[in-house]
Amino acid sequence: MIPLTASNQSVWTRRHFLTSLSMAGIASACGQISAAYKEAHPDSDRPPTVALLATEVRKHSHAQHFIDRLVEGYGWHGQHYFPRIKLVSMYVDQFPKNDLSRDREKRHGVPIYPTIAEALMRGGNTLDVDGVIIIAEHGDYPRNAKGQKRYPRYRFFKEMIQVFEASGRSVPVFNDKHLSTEWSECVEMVEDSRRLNFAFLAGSSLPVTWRIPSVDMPWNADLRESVSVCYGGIDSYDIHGLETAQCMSERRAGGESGVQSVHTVRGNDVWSLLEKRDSTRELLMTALSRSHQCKSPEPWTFKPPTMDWIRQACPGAVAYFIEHLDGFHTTLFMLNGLVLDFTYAGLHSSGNITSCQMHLPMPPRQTTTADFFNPLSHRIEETIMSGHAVYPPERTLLTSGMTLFGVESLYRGSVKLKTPELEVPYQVEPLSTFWRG
Amino acid sequence: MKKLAFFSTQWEEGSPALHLLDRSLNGWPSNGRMKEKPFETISVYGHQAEKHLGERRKHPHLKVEKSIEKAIADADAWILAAGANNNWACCSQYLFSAIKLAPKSTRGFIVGFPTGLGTQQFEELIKADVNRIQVSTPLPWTWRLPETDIPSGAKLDEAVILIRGKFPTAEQEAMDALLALTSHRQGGESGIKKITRWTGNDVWKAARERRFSWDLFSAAVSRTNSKQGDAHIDGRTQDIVGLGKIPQLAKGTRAWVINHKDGLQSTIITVDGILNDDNFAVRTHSGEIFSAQFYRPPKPHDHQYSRLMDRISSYLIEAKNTLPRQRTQLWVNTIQMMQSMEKDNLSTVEVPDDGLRYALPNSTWTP
Repeated sequence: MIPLTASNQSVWTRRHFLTSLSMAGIASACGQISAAYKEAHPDSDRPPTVALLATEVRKHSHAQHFIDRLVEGYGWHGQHYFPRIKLVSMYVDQFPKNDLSRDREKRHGVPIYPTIAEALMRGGNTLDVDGVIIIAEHGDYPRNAKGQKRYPRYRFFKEMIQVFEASGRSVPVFNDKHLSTEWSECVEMVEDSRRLNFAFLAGSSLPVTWRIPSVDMPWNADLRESVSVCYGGIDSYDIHGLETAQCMSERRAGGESGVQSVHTVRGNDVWSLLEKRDSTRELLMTALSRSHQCKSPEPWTFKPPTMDWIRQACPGAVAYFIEHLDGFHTTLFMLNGLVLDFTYAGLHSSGNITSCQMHLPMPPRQTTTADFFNPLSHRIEETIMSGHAVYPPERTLLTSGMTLFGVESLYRGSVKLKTPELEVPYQVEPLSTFWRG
Repeated sequence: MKKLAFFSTQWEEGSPALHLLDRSLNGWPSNGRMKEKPFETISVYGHQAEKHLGERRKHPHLKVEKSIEKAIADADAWILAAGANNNWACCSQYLFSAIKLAPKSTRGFIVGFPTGLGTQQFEELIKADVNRIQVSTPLPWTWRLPETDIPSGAKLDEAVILIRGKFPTAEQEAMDALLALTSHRQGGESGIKKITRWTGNDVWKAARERRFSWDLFSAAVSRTNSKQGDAHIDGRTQDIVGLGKIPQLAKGTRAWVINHKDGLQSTIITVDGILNDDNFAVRTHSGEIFSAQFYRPPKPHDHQYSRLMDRISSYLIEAKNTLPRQRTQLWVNTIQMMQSMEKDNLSTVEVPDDGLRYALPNSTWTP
């Protein structure tokens, strides 16, 4: 069993708190960023400072992408943009042979401290930064029996919390990807952010990257079902695929209700379950029509995929079938061997479908700089400048839960898991945060 | 439609002809659905088609013909796709045969730039077949990141297009894309009065002398996601413009400043060694800058050809998306002048008044 800390009572309480937090945060994040920061720091002309906590920094590791955007800038709205926040300290957990953190330390004069506490206090005895960025992705960490890589996101976070508590103040925090690999830890992280009253932004770059075409889910949409199609491994790219769907699904009428069950299947079981679900099949094919990297059978440069071809191309297909509390359905297909991109399709009550590709050109084949990190870097900056998360942490709490319970379902032999723990309702404001300018 | 005749001189993997033939035979993705193939039969003719089509020849709706006459006979439409080898000496023979042999009502689409055709010869051809032939390349019609377009009727001051590749293929695509960006400006396309050419370090000297807008160059560069140089070494996102890296990175740069009769200045610059994608920036008279990447999806699928198929099929089947013949003529004439300048190493050419002007009320690009 997955250990749980959240009782129904605490979930109910958290629902109200988090809903109000996210709505207030979104509303105040718009257009008031500098004013908000100045209000909080009336005597300061200096840019807000940030510490970055990384597992490893090497070419194309997530930490390298974020560090370089902070110190070198990045393309944004038709110019090379230099962030208004300043990277002043780093903690790096591992130094592989191809480490770049020492190079960046020397090149940009950003010291690497031996501990997280020292990085946050910068040689002093109290918190001395205005924001914290946790990038605990990539590096040499053990896998558990379920195949989850135990990245130290929770450990980094808790060591940071100790500094916040000891200093008697907290600052905005970003956590890259899902919160942790244990549900109890995910819940604790969000509860800590509530208890210590700091803005907590988390998750994947998928919700904020380019969309092709540049469509948004209409706010308050009469959406019935979402399908996301992607590639990659479990407890790795599944969070990206789930956030691809969730950033659209959460805009449905009534907002997000939470998730009542998660059922992950592999191989032929995917297709057996799909046979009973006409709408899911239609959404799968629509999502694939938005793919630019859907493999075709030999010898064709392109041939529309059929169900037979999909089965043949990806014998190890994995699908997460997710039932939400309000009857909404989300299905994530991980079709290794067929696709190399992220696509989405959502079915409205009218029968209309909204679909697009969430554009994630991967280095080194398609890009040298992985610019889908540009909008995420910008959203982090907005959160730190404003003191409010530009989208709610409940999204990532819920997608973390979908990921963890999805992995658990598969580990237990593809049993369908009831998930009362995932009663994480929330609402978002009409403002959307994907990259379009 | 019943029959499509399809000609090309190059059928190798990755060639425009194969991309378009496969989509013609199988269908292609369009606006969130798969479009079904619009033709019952496709008759193919071309150099080494038998050899390169291989397994494709087993497709029940494909026929590889031994003569151009057989391929075009009773065809409802035709496509002529230039190969990357630009063998237009041969393609032009196919083109004239297609036009001569096809029924008068048959529409045709030329994919690529008909380099080997003499200006007068080609002008006569397209004048004679005003609504029967369209010519274009994938770049003008592909997706843009962001999904931006120049407002219809906007007064434009300057445009910069950054493109990669060899002469003249890169310039052909860039010019085609430029016309898609600017033809719906206030007053429409006015024609071209002067072309100036620089190469190598002279391009950066011209930039320092403000002969073209460095702000627009920078805006276009900001849309790349494939900077070269240090980004290749360690993924760095550095400001290659602000750090003065551009001249160091550039390899064999060519720049063409095109002065239009209405005052618009367009500059096409090759960015090999600097970027590995194609981008643009346009400034309106009111000072607003529009910039984006011309997004070419990854190989081997090259879905810019799916976007092109949308245009080709809507033209061939419904006679929609017709571009004015003056646009094609202006494109061809400009490239041919560039070729002369390159051949004779000329830096400036004043363009005689050829009367080539046209107006488009709206953009021809769709998101």
